Amino acid sequence: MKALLFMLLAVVSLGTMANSQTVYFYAWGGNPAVNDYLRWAARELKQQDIDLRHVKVADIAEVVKQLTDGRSNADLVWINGENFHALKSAGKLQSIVADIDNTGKLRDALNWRVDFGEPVDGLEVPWGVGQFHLLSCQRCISGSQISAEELLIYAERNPGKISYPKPPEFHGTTFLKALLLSLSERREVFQQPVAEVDAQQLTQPLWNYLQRLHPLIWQQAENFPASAAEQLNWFANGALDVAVSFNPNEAQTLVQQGRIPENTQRVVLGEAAVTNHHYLAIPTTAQQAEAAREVINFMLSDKAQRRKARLDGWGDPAVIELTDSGTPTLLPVAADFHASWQAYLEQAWLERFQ
Amino acid sequence: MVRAFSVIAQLLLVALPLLLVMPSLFQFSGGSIQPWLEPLFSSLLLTITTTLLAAYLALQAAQYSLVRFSRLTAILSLPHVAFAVGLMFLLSPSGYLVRIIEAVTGWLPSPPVGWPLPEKSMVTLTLVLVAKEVPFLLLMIAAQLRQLPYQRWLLQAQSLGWSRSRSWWLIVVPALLPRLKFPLAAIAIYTVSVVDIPLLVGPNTPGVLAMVIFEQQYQFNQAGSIMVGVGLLIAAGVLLLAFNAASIRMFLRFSQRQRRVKTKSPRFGWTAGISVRSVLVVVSWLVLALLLLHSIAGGWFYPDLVPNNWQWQRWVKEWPYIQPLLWTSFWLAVVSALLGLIAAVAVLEWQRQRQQRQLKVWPLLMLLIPQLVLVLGWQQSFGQGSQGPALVWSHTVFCFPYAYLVLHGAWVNYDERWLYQAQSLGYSYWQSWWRILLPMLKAPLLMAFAVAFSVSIAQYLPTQWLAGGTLPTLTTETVSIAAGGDWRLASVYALMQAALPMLVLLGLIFFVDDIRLTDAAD
Repeated sequence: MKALLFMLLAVVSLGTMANSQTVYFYAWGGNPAVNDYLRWAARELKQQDIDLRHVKVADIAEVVKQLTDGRSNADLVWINGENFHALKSAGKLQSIVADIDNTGKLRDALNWRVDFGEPVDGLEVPWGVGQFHLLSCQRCISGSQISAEELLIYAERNPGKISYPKPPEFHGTTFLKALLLSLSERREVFQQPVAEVDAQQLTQPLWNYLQRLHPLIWQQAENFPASAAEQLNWFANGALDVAVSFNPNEAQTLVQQGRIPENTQRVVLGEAAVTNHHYLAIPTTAQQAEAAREVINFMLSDKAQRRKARLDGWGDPAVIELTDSGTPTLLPVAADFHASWQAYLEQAWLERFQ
Repeated sequence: MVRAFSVIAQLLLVALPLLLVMPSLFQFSGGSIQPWLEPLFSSLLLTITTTLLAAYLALQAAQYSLVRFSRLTAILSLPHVAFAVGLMFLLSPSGYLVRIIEAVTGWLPSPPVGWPLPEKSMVTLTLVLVAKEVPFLLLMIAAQLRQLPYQRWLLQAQSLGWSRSRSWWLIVVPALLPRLKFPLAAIAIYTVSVVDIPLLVGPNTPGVLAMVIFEQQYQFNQAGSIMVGVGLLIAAGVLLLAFNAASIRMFLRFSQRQRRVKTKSPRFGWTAGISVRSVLVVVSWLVLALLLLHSIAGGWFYPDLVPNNWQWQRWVKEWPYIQPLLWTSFWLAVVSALLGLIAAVAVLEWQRQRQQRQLKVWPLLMLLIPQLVLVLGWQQSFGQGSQGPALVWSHTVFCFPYAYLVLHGAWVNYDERWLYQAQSLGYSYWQSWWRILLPMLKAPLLMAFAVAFSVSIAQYLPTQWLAGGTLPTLTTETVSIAAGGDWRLASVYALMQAALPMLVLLGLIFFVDDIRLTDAAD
């Protein structure tokens, strides 16, 4: 009886994975616009006999952990920063950049060859651009920029209306970086590894600032939003006056999706937006590495990049030069910190405020 | 033969899972205990409050009449997370209740800051868990009450001049509580190890123990140190089981003393016990309605009572992607619920033949160990990408104890005389077992199947961590979509996830007339 049922299940599960060119693409599954885009990509790739399976994960770190432990069936992963750093140092990524067609057209101005201060070394290919900024309603924060000090004044006038995702959530950690940049004189020093500078002294202004800010924010900083998505929902309903975003077009795309009210605008925290790329990479253990490369080729094609930037869809800026690009301009660029700051800031924050 | 089956079932579904966890437990690499103490304390507080409150409310509600099972279908089949989100749609500072207040009074142009149920807090977390556990407990109480002549006891006590509430709490409850020991223990263990609900509505500086373990699981820089947390989680589990047993004993002693007191006092609870039940039923349907509304809503922001526009096409667009998930979930659930049920029958039949009427610890063991600990251990033994069989097995491990819990009362109390009578008419023992006993126990069997089925549907951790995304189910998809916070889309998935167990439960109610977990009292 049991054996029979097992067989039945085996048949059912086999039936769903008949194609040999199946590429398991592990990627965050929380954004419906991204999911829709990947469905479109999967339909397009069908013509090349590639079956692209978006394995939706709640946090890509799950997969990174499994890859470093040597147990994963991922053929393609969507990563950057810390996760890239971990995979690179574990030697779990294939060198791929040389084999990808469109890399000649990549926008070099945005410095994609360094991912959070870590040289890419051909191990990952940029897919899109992230620029950290705030979303706010028009009657809330006026203007397109706000400095750390101005934010503090705003919080004093509107107690309980500011918050940020709890570090180590990466939006939360980037919020700290943006504040730190706004509070610091010497900004280039954050490009260096933590070990090479006096991190304690450099970050002291941030901790002093947060001591003043926290009593003025949501729940007096007793709790924090668990994610940018959660904060977005509270912002949409007016419980908070700001949300955080990494997609410079999100003020428009989210309005189109009916996710946030129409009067939403983007506000840069500090003088420029902390900017980084998100990348595609192929693990050394990928079983369909060839097909996965084809997928990356497709993702970097003019067609796919143009579609990705569309404001009625994902709205993620293109990483290649597009001649007829009608997508909105990027925000002013501030280079992201060296990857080692991530863990340092998270740890220091947790020690002080958790 | 029964014995062999019973032993095999328990070896496969209890001993093996335990064995597979062992290797990971010995990786204990040490680390500081300090950062774990606050989460541990919040976890203990949360679990004790939730269990006591759920027990009190369920017993209070059961006093007046047993809930007609069909009315609780909605709340029983809604996944925990969907229920939590629906409840927040209703009660959070920007929820429907506040919107109605704003619409009527105009006092709250933006969501109130000091609202007693904030988006995240210990109170909110406790409320969600209690609301979700009370129906399960009501089900268990109904099953156990059927074995007690409690109506007669109540009548006798009242004829001696006791109030109804006094008779209930001092006569029926003391007889009932020891039988609820394991269901209550299962609730305590579930509460101490649940991750998804605290992530959604729980406090997070630092948050409860299981949640912190889950979060740190993927922090690369502190790989070894979560084992300290896991160790504490196991210790907390043991502590809570002891607390559970001790508080039941304490209540028994207390009621014994109170029975001798001549006065009419003390009064337990408020007399309008019916309200617990009605509130639950109303809230569960409201939650369902709000999820439905969100699933077809376009933009919908505070303080609007209805969405600005509608997006019906979301259902149409998602359906082709939901369909295969429905099949996978359905098959997994049918197979593992059936296997779990067969195993439970084998164990219970062996118990029945030896006239052991009490609930045994061993078959329930998997409910008494935090799931996070189990699945972490299995993952290290199996590796990722384990397909079909391993996945079915992992689901069966959790279906089995629930099937055992639901089936237990009816099975061990089956009147042996029916079998003697059949045998005296010329049937063999097994013929009479097959033709008389099974049909007579059809209702509890189907009920156990339905519960096991919904247990399998709800499994997230085993599915995600063992199958590694190669066999996505409705539940794993719902969780990852919910991570993005777009609850209009996530509502579609959550409702579909609820639809499967709901269909099974409704099917039961319609096609089996004697599913009467209620007595004539209702």
